[in-house]
Amino acid sequence: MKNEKLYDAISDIQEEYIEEAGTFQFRKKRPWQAVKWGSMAACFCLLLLGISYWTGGAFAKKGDNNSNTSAVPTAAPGDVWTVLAYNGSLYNVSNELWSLNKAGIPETITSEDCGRLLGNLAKTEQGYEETTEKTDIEIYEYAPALNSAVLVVKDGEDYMAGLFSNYYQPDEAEAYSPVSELYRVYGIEGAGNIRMVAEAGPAGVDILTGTEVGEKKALEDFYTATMSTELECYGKEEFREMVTDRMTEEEYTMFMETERILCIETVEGLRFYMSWYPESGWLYSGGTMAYYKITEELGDWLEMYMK
Amino acid sequence: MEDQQIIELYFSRDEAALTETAKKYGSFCLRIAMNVLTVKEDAEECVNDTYHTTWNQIPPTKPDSFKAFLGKIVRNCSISKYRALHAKKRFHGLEVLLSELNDCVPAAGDVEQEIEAKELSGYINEWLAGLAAEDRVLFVRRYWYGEEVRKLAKLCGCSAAQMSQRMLRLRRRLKKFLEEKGVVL
Repeated sequence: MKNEKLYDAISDIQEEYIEEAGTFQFRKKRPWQAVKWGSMAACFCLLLLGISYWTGGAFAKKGDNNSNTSAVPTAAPGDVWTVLAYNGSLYNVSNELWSLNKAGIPETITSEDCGRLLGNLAKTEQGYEETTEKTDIEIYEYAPALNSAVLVVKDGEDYMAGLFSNYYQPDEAEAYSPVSELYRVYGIEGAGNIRMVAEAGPAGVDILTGTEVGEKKALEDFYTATMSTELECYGKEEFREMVTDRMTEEEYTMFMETERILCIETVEGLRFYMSWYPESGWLYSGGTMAYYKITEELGDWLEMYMK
Repeated sequence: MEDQQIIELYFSRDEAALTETAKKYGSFCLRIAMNVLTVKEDAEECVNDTYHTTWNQIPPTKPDSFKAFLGKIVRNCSISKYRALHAKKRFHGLEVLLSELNDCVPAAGDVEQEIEAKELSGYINEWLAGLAAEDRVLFVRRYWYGEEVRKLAKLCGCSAAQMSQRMLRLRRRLKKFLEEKGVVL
């Protein structure tokens, strides 16, 4: 067996590598408090300036090392929202109907949407963060969909939604979150948790423009293709080096123009979005801050259903 | 006790060498055997065989790294045992590792000449040398030590799914490297 031959060859690697592996100290990801808020703020500013309302401008511009591509924006043009850092993720806190509708929440948040009390929040310069102190800002589960994609923030008498934006990725160059991580946030444990997949329109226009794909078999195939370990994911820096840095300005512009938006809706009605670049075969998720090289299986699915 | 002192005990044919080896490296050896075999009784048997083999090999061998030396013996012993048990259709941890390594098998080239195991080890060493330290350590911990993906994920502070992705990419990089070198297995 060829794999056994390889395994045997690995048995005879240099002893220094065996020693090294036995004593190596891994550098754990920093805790969320260490996230560079500056870069997050920069990201939101970019978004507020109207650069790609939908998926946070998936592709970093050539040579622009400061642009951040991390968040799925959930605010309407001109809507300023607050950032919440909670349980390893960043959320956009808003009660603007446009933002809520886009995330699949039909009405503004009220006390009736509060599920279990999760804890207290403290206000910071950048927004809200968890605290063990008792404050008048509380965070609750969102009763209609008990997952971590939507939370309810009660600040004094105001109720707002905390809409999942993205995971903390302290080291963006090493952001390798597969789609399964995004599914976990939205409570998707199988194809049965997805209500439909459809194409969404450009910013500010109709949320859904294409046919809604809701057949069981089609959703099962979509789920399988997106969960496949063959779907390789890449961090921002790596993607830049591999793809955008090798393009001319013209190619880059053309490339950006091919962007299409996929909307995935859960059975609870929550929605999240991914950018699809059919010409070059890439998928981008702001939630995981990752770029996925579309496999043949997924490519075929998209071509068939997202006409 | 320092490794050098234990090795000296072997050279003076003092059986305390075995006790000291077991005391210092017993759990290390058992862990490697368990990663391959997954059955404690089988793994313990391999560890005992390892002490026996070590006793027979030192002297004349004087290992530079005693830990790596023991590791290689226990690993080889575990693989042999796995193969013997596998013939009886018993399932063990090594099967998972072997199936993952299929990703690294280079596509056949024009010149169909199979590479020798030693030469292949040389290429793997060369590939490992070119990796970032953390990637190299992860690869060795997974495919030499046989550690589980979820354990490595915990060490790195990421999810098991993320670690699986990272491993997949490492395997593909190795495959690409071997193909570039014209390796045929």
